[in-house]
Amino acid sequence: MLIIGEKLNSAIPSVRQIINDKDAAAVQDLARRQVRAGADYLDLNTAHCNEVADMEWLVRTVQEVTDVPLCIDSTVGEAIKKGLETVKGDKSKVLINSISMEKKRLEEVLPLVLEYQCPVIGLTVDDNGIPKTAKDRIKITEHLVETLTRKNYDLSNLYIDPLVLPLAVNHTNATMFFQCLTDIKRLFNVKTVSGLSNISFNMPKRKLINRYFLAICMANGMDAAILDPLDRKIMTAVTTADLLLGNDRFGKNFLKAYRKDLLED
Amino acid sequence: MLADTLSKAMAELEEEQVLEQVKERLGGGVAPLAIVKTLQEGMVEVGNRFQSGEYFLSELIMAGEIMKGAMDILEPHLSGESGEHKGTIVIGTVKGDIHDLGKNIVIMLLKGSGYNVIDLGVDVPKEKFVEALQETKAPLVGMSVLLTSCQEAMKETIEAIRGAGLDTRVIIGGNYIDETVKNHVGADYYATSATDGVKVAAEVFGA
Repeated sequence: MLIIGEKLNSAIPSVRQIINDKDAAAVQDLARRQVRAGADYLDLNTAHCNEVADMEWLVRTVQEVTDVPLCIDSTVGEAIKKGLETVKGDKSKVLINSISMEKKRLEEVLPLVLEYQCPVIGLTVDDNGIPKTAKDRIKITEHLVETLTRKNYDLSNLYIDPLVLPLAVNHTNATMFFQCLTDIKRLFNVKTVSGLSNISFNMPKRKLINRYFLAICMANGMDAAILDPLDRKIMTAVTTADLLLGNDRFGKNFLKAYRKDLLED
Repeated sequence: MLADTLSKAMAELEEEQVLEQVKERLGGGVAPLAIVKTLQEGMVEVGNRFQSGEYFLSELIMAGEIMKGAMDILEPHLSGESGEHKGTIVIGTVKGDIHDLGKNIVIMLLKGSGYNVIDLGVDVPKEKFVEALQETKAPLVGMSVLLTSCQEAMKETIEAIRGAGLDTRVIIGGNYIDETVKNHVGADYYATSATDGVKVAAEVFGA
């Protein structure tokens, strides 16, 4: 499974601080540690800082120490544009996080996706908000797929995020999400992605819930996850679930991780 | 430590690197047999790591698959030289026993070390052993057994081989086997691990 490292997000107070302080060493340390832990992508978010200017700084600072592709995380077209312009190397590897069927997002972000032919995360939300049912989320997915197909976009680069809602609000929110994953994989030639922490909002032992949620998502066809690769237990869950799902030929990755002492019970 | 990058890639189970380097060396004019030998050195290391507990069974199987993939590339270039294995060994699990894991592991290592291995499968009657040995004239036969109740079958098979006038060396393998069992059934060697089996083969074939 594709791992998008979530640490460099300005929603985290300590990260917001190091971005505001322009503490390059601290940012680069977080970047390097996530890569070493197995991140395939590094998510960059500066929404809680001086978004556009700081995105430029963050991209440049991170790329000084790693070649791992970046995931530009913003709702603002201007910030994504600045990020893309700043990225050196193959810009078509950048994962844009995200578009949706909201009119403003489509207008601002879609042209950038098409210009650079980047992979992109598509949220199942439109101007009416996040739908309550799996059926309505599939409908939005269909609209997104149609919109991108009309523009000759390569759908295998589209990562649909069916938006998980807290279990605390409705005890069937997880099963509804699993249903979305299964249906999307069955109906469309696209990929799926999710964050993990919403599911456990306002519950105790959140990491426990997140970990099992991840494993069940993977079993239902999730292709990528936005998570904290520095959390050894969640990475252990990824490695183990990949082994069980037949994604790890001869268990090579699992056994390698075992020998490196990366697996935690 | 392995010095050659191809042996090392084999030992590290880096499949893509192995196949790439095999093609590269072939293209660069390296003798196919020399490449096989280099791969075998990596295979021996895999066997050692399995023996020491560092590698697990699935990695041993993967090594076999990588070796197979490499041989698929090399075989067309080995024509004329293809007879140049270290020798033929016949192996089977004796009558009454259907365990094949240990047998398959030792076969993988023997093939990786350059032997031509004839695998008779499991639950093999003594006549079949004799027939295969007469046909191949293999100097070494291996019998695998896990069930203690099959000791007599092993003894009878060895008697049948001797009775047919064959002086084939006999090695028996299985985790409960020891000197006493070896003497009781009339075998020449015994092994309780796959790598011990390979050592005996080296001794018999002087390889």
